[in-house]
Order: sequence, then structure tokens, then C-alpha cells
Amino acid sequence: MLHLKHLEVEGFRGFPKKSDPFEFTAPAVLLHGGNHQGKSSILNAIEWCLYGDQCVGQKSGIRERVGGWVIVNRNVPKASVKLVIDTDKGVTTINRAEVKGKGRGERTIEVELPDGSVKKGVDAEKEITRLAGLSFKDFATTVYQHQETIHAILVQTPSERSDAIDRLLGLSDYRNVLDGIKRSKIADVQKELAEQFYSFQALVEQTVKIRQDELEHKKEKAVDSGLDANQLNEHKLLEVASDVRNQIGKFASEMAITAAPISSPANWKGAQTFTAEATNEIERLWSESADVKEQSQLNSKRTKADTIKTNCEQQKQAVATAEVEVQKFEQSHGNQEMIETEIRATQSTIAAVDDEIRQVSPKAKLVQEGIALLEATAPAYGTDVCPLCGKTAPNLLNHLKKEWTEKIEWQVHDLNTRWSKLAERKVELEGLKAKHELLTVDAAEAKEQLKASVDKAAEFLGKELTDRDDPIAMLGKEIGEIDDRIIKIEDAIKDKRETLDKISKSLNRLNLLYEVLEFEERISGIQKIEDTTEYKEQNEIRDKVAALVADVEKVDSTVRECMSEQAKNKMKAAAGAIDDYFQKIVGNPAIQELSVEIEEDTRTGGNSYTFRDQNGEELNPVLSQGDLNALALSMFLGLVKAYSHPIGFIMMDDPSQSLGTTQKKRLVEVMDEVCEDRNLIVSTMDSELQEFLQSGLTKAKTIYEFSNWDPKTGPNVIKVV
Amino acid sequence: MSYKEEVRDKIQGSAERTEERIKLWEEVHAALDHGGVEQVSSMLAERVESLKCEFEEAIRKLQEML
Repeated sequence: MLHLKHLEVEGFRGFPKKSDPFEFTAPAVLLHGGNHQGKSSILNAIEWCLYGDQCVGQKSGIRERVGGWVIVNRNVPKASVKLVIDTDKGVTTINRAEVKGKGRGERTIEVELPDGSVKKGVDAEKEITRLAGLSFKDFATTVYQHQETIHAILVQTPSERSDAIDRLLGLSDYRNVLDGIKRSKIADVQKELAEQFYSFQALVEQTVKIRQDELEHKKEKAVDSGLDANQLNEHKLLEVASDVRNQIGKFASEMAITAAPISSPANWKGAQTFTAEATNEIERLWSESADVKEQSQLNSKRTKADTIKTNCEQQKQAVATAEVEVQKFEQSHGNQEMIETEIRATQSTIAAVDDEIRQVSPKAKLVQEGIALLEATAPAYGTDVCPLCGKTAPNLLNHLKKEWTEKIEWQVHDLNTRWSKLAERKVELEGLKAKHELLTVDAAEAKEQLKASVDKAAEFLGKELTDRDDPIAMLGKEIGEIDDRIIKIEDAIKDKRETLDKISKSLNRLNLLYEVLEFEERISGIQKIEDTTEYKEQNEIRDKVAALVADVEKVDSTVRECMSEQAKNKMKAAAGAIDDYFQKIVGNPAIQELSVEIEEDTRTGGNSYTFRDQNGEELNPVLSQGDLNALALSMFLGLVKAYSHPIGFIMMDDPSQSLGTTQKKRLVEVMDEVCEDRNLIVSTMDSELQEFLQSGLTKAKTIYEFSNWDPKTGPNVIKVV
Repeated sequence: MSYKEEVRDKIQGSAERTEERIKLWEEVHAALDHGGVEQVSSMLAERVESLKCEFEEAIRKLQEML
């Protein structure tokens, strides 16, 4: 049997500093002190030293250990625990350590065996497992009564209370598996796939209906084209194709052209290729027909003749318009010669008036011209420089103007007025001359363009044209002759066109037959979709999902079954002890017998525990907080008693949470009974319980008083013997 | 007997798909050991999700045939 000898902690949870050794050799060790003084850390240190990571996190099955529950004290970098145990083979020392913030490599474990040999790492863990001879779950159920066990049973709802009892019974792994399966929602995915499959099936039915409606429409069109409703099949299609082929051959023969080979379709699927080849061949035969060729040439020639004729007509009209313009101008203003004669006469008159002005005032012209010259050159040279000799003469422009105004102007006024009118007339005549020249040029250009058009007409007509010919009339006559020929050709090719129309209609029927057969095949394909690889594949996948869901459900139901059996077996084995301890602690005369009924809680997946009295009456609603506390302790102690294991001690953490004075006294009596078989380590903040333990436990005791806990130094611990 | 062995033994005694169910159970408790409840949940969800993707691809191809 495994017994504790002593423990040293450093940097572990509530102990930042190295503690003095805690001795556990006495049958009862009492850890007493206020809340948050480091008592529970001592119990945790024993558990951690024996089980390491198993007692940390979700896998521990202890809710307070999930998230935020740290091993290393926040003020130090490293935690280490040294636990000395005594087994049948001798004294063994376990040293476990962990460095803050480091990975698994910084967690060390070392076991020094009675023979002095040392095991480390995985070997050390194996050695501890062998020495303890108890799994962590069983340790947590039958060795270490956590505060949480009682707290959860006291304050949770019935379903959560059942969960707490499951965990008290060491069934947390089952509960966690069930919880994980439930959260995966794989059955929901199976339903989702089934819904998708049913939607697809509905889509298939709907598509077949739509395609059948479309097929009926195609069939109606085929019948409208002259096909018999009973002949909408491949045989008829091939017959029509053969007919088309013969018609094309005959047509080519009539046209005296060698027909290109067209391959007959082997089945209805070849109809599209056949139609394309037949259409190309028809177009080729048509374009190579002599009549058709001539018709094409004549149409081209007619278009050309019409263009030249229109051009000639437009140019002829342009010449006529230009000549009318010249005539109208000359009627109003005279011809070129007459205008030039008047210009010369006006110029002579102006010269005569100039002479008269000079005779009246010799300086007049000179001053007048000087003023005009100075005003023109003023911006560049100023008004004081003589433009003739270049010499400077102050106020020259003003002087000339004054000279003109005061001495000359009055003498030449009438002559000047006359001169100005003559000059205006001369400008007017020069403008008329320019306008006449422009009109003459326009007329000449129009004639040139008309001549070019006539030359084109001559070239088209293939003869030289003289002024005696009327090209427009000649072209009109030519066009008339072309039209006559075109009409004759159209009559000639009418029969050929009718033959082609017949072939086209046959091809149209061929296409309609093809469409009918294609739709039939598509519908048939959809109706046979269940034979496709993809359809079989989705069936297989649904089967796989169904199998997976069934497998998971089987695992789920098996876990539930095992959990229920475990609970029942454990409760059955411990029932007598639980009842006995419950009676002793509670001391309620109305409850002479306690029994537990275990059923599956279908809502949570766990077990549901109903406690009943000797009459089968349900106790859950009438149990007080103290009774529930007593019930939790009775179950723990009952399990301890029921299951023999090689651990020679039990640990109880704050066991008296809701117990009354009398119940505490009775609890101590029960604990004294338990102490007969195993050493007892009790942590309590309850001074009343502490007093009862000191006075009520009949075995030797070691007492540690915890006080004045400080974040940097930890608790002040005094050993009281 | 640990809970793993206990459940395994019970599955072993089942009439059908014993091998697959034992394998599944081993994966489930390994997931629980490795990452707790969440790992169990995600392991199963991922497995069914991959089948769901394959199914949806097959349905997509079938829809194209219509």
C-alpha cells in the first residue's frame, strides 16, 4: 500500500517560495486556515506529483481545472514538488517540475527508487503508475474529494447535479465523449444530404416534364411540315436523308454539274453533319449554274450602268446651272470685256481729277499722301521722322494736318469728293470682274466633270461618243436591254429554284426529325440517370454517411450503456456504505434507508440520479443543503470503502461546506471510522470542524495551521503536533 | 478495466461493422485524449464534412446532365 511520508513544494500554485517539509506519516493530517491560504495547494501538489498533466485541463474531468488553472506560481519561473512515498518495496522519492511558458520539454519528472536507481521521463511516469496502481480518474473518485464535488452537488440544477455525480463516480470521460459526439451534429449533415437528394429527385421529375412538353411541341412542328405522326423515327429520318441526297444528285445532273459526294448518315445522330454537307453542296451547285452566273453578271452590269447614267445626269445638270449663273451675271453687269473697259475708263477719270487737284494746289497731293504715309508708319517710326529723307522734324504729322485743314482742304473739297466716288466705283468694278472670273471657272469645271462622266459612259458602252451622242439616253437603252435579259433568265431559273425549295423543305423535315429524336434521347437519358456513375456515387456517399452516423450512434449508445453500467455497478457496490454514512451524518429519523435509482437522462446524455427513502419516496426535493452535502460526502466515502485500492490515504478538501454542527460532529465520527483503514488528510477553513477533528479523531494527528498568505512569500505555515 | 477497453469490448460484441466501429471508437478516445470535447467534435464533423463535399460534387455533375 502506498503511504505518504513527506512533501516539499516550491513555486507551485500558492507557494512561491520553498516550503518546509510537510509530514504525512501520522494517521490524520489536518490542514487548517482561512480561505486562500494555500491549503488546497498542498493537496493539489500531491495529486500533480503523482499524475502530472492528467490532473490539468479538460481531461481531468474537474471543471475548475479547465482554463486558467496554472501550475507555476505567477511570481516565479518554475514549480517543483518533491514527494516521498513509502510502498511495500521501500521509500521512493518523486521529483516533478515545470518551467513557466515552456513546452513539454521543460516538464521534468524523476523517480528515485528504494534501490537508489533513478528513472526519468516516460520511464518515471510508468514507475509512478505502477506504484500508485490506480488511474487518475479512480484517484479523483476514491482518494481525493475535491471542493468542486460538494459544491456542484449543492448549488447546481438537477441535471447539472447528475453531471456532478457522474464526475464524482469517475464517469467524466464518458460524458465528454457524449458531449463531443453531440456537438459534431453529424446526424444533421445526414438529414441535409437527404434533403438535397430529395430536391434533386424533384428536379429530375420536373425536368422530364419540361422536356416532354418541348418534345410534343417539336412533334407538332414536324407534323405541320408534312410528316406523319407515326413516322417520327430514325427510319423516316434516314429515308428523308436518302431522298435529299437523290434530289441533289438529280439537280446537279440537270445543271450539268458534277455533284460532290455527300455521305448518307449512318444513324439519326449523323443528320446534322449531313444537313451541313447538303446545304454547302446546294449553295455550290447554285452558284456554279450558268444561268445563275449570268444573272449575277447582269445584275452587276446593271448596277454599274445605272451608276454611270446617274453620274452623267448629275454632271449635265451641274453644267446647265453654272451656265445659267454666268448668263444672269452678264445680263446684270456685262461681260468680262465690258467690265474691264469700264475699269480702264474710271482709272483715266481718276487720273484726270488728280491733275485738276494738282493744278488747284500743287502741294495738295503731296500733303495728303504725306499724312497717309506718316499715319501708316507711326507705330514703327513715330510721327516726327520724315518717311522720305529720314530726318527728324518735330510735330511733322500735326504740322501736315494743320497745313491740310487750314490751307488746302477748302480748295480741293469738291474735287476730292468726286475722286472718292470714282475710287469706290473702281473697287466695285474690280469685284465684279473677280466674280465673273469665278463663275466662268465653275462652269468650265462642271464641263470637265461632265466630260469625264461621258468618257466613263463611252468606256462602258464600248464606243467613242461625240457631241452628237446623248450618253444618258444610250445608257438608258442599255439598262433596258439588261433588264429584259434578267427577266428572261429569271424565268429560266424558276424551275431550278422550285427544285431547291423542295430540297430545302426536305432538309427542314430532316432537322425536325433530328430534334424530335434528340429530345427523345435526352428524356431517355434523364430517365436513366440512376444508371450513371455519378448517381451511384452519390448513393454510395449517402450510404457511407449513413454508416458513419450509425457507427457514431452505436459508439454513443455503447458509451451511454457503459456509463450507466459503471454508475450502477459503483453505486451498487457502494450502496450499503453510502446509506450507512448518510444515516450517520444526517441522522434524520424519517430517512431510514437511502437508495439510488439510475436512469439515462435523454436530454443531457448522462445519467439521472434519483434518491429515494425506504418507502420509495423521492428524496431529491426534500433534501436540504446540508443533506446534499452529506449525500456527496457519503458517496465519496462509500466509494472509498467499496473499492479497495493500493493508496493508503484519502484527501478531503473543505468537506463541511453546508453541514450543521451536529452533522459535522457525525462526519468526524465517520472520518474516524475511515481512518481505521487509511490515513486521512483534511483541508478545512471551518474552525468548528477543525475542533471536532482535533477532539473527535481517535488517531494520532499532525496539524498545520496556515495564515498570512502573501503573493511573494506564500503562507505562514506552523506545524502543531 | 479502463473506459476505453470497456467500450471497445462492448462494441466488439456487436453484430455488425465491428471493425469499423472499433476503429472509430479508437479515433474518438484518441481525439478526447488529445484535445478534449472539441477535438472529438471537430474530428467527427470533418469526416462527415468531407463526405458532404463529395456528395455535393456528385449532385452538381448530375444536375449538369439534366
